[in-house]
Amino acid sequence: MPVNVTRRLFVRQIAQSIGQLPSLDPLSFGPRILDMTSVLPQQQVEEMKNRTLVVVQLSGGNDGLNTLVPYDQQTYYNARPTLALSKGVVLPLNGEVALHPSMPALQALYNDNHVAIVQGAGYPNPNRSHYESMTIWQTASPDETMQTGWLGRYLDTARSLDSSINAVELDALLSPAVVGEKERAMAIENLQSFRVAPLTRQTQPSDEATIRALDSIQCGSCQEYNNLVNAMMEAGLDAMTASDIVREAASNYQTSIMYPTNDFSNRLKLAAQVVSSSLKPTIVYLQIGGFDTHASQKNTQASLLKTVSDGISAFYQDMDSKGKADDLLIMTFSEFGRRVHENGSRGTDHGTAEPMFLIGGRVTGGLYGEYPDLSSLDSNGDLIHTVDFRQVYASVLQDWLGVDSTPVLNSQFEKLNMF
Amino acid sequence: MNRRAFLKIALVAAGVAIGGYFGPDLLTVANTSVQSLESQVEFGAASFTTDDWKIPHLLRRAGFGASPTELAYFENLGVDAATDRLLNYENIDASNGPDQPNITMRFMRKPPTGEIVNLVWWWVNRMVNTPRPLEEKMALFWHNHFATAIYKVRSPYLMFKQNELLRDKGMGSFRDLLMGITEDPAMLIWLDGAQNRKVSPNENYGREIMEVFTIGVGNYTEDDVKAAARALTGYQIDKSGSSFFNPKQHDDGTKTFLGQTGNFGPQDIVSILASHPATAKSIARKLFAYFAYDNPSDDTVSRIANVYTRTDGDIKAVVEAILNSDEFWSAQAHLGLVKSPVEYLTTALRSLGATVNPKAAVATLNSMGQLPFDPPSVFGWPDGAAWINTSTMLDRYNFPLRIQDLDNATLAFEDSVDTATRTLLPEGLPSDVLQVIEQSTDSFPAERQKVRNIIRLTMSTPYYNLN
Repeated sequence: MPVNVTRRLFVRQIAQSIGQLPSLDPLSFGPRILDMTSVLPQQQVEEMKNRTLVVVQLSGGNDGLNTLVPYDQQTYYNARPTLALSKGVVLPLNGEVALHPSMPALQALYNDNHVAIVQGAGYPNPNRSHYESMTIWQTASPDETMQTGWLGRYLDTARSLDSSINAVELDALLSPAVVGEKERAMAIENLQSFRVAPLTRQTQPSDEATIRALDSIQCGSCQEYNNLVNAMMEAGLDAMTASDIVREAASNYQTSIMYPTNDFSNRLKLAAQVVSSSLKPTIVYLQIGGFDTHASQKNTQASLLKTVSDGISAFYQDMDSKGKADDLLIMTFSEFGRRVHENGSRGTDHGTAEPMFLIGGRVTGGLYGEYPDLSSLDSNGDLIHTVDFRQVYASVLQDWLGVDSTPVLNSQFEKLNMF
Repeated sequence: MNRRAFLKIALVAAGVAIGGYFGPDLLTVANTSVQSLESQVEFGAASFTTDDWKIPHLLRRAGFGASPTELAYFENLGVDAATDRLLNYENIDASNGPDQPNITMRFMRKPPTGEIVNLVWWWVNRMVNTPRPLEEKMALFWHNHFATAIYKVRSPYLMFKQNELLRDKGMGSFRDLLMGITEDPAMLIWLDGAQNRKVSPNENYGREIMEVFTIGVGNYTEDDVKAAARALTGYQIDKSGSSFFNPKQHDDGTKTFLGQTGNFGPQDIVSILASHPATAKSIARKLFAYFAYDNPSDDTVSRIANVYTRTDGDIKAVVEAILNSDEFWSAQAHLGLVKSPVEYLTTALRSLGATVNPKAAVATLNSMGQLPFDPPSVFGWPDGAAWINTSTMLDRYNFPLRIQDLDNATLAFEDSVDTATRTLLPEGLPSDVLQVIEQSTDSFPAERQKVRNIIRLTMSTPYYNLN
């Protein structure tokens, strides 16, 4: 079935002509795309258009100390009588830090120079509430409450100049991170249900009538009752257009890479399919939960880190086999790390700084930032961060996505040169 | 008499019963009053009379919509008596309902899917058929407030017991409810309360009871978290799934908590938090946003919070104040919320007198992001615009194809497409939307397909998806 790529544009034009959608006004306020043509050769500008940022959110607060292990420090072993990972089992990256033993797949990528690890990412006056701290990471705004996410603000800018830019979150509901003032990511929960199902068994003219009616209901009437009505109409139209494109790409997708069988890897495989479609999303966002290990942390975290490491490795190899590793950047984060001293339930309570992983063909592998000082903790017994996470965002926005990071982050941050 | 009023009487005459197995004590609906024309509320291209929107609005917010017969019954009562009947539901006999899902008490690494389906469907079915809709609406509110998820609790039975607690205490004293949830086995597993021991406290419940359940961020310090955690030590769970307090694991030393000092235990923490002014405000604000609209003014919140304070946290008094407020009956409230997935599904089934395969219900709710007993985190589900995205809109277009037993609806749909759509949205659709539905329905040859197409398209309109 030929894909009706023009429908969305067509539909958007119709919607705009009757005042349903904001017009694509390049002069609207907000951050500007860097004029790359003045600083980069044309070839590189073209290459940037093919790039994708895949954000992997580790929800619940991943214990950074047992992810990037300071295995040469006795302080670590003293603080963690039952949870410390012994020198014999960890996977050393150098003489000071090592990966958790369930992450050999990520270690292999690290050894191939495809992994940058930012040690001790955090922000001043750390918040230990899941919700508050997750909001801070997603809005990139520790000091004041913001209604828009950092990737949403990126989309507001980027789409105002190039309406073909897309973003997708692979989940039932969107994270605040990908919701901007005017623009937001599409959500795809799973491929099977991402379509308008036919009412009858055979496709017949009446089903075409249903599709036309669904289109018209969302657009033809255009009786504005409130802004929620508009949001539903726009999401519906985007969905009907995108479903054709994504499902067609998925049916053509093939891979020889064996993904692990779990929900996270299924989503990464879906990411590979979506990235390969003509939707060509610049942003893909997904999450994995369960990291809130207040009790019996050992097995739970081991299993989660294995899932993350094996899944990301399979996804990277899949993209690499299609010649797309150089256009791929995967970034992981969690809302906070966990307390240095373990608690009485063989778990750890909410903490602060954490390592972030950036994986991709163009990444300059290695360690960035300083490991937080285990002998100099804050008044709560938590690590003091050494890199502001917004420095990482700034580097990604500027050096990977090619936009001026200052307006997106509302401030200028010193970049890490990771690409 | 308008067409809708005619339909109501026709249905009653035909003996179409509302509800299902509960056997509601419906009075005879007679002399449905001619609608008054006091004022008009704009609704897209269409407009409708004031009295036409009030009862549907009330039944959507304090319940899960209504069948035409049920709607006629409440319209006959009038707004005040209808509100009273919904609020004072303890007077309504619900003893014929299903009292327990088919699950047994045990701890498992992975609970069987069948038991989860049984549990979810047991509750969804209650929402669809109960003669006490506000009782279930409150249980749903508290499930979101004290959000606990089966993925960590792993026992469908303990989730069920918590659900019973939320229903039994959901309209009583907030202090009693908070004490109940503090000792609730599913909650003790969910927020590690059962792991919170004297020698080395676990802060999880001590933090969330303040941040999420009562006073909110900004009203406590990290030291208060540590003090609360110490005061809450000592709960354990036995093999039968019951919780008990073990004094040997309890830290009975002196703590300073929110400016007060004493050798506090769980009751003291619950009591201090339940009577805190910040709790009055946060509960008032959240209940108001659930029943009326988002972002109420500070004045409105203060007025409702005063009811909480004056009644020492009587939840029913707070709900009553909200349902009787001018704000609740304002144009801002009318269709000013998005139907949550649960509301989307249950309103359709209750309005149509229809059903759905339990597995299909679970799959749809899961895909739309609101599977009961499985909220994403302790913060519960998002609300409002967060329910709207490309994935969930397609789910909303497709779910109607899974609805079964449309006999009652088919009967109602013989009159006109307009009447049919009003079964799902009593206010009716804007005329141009209606026209689109009429035209597309003509292209389906079979009667059953026509009916399903009408239901599908009505449920796909933005208007049905508002609440």
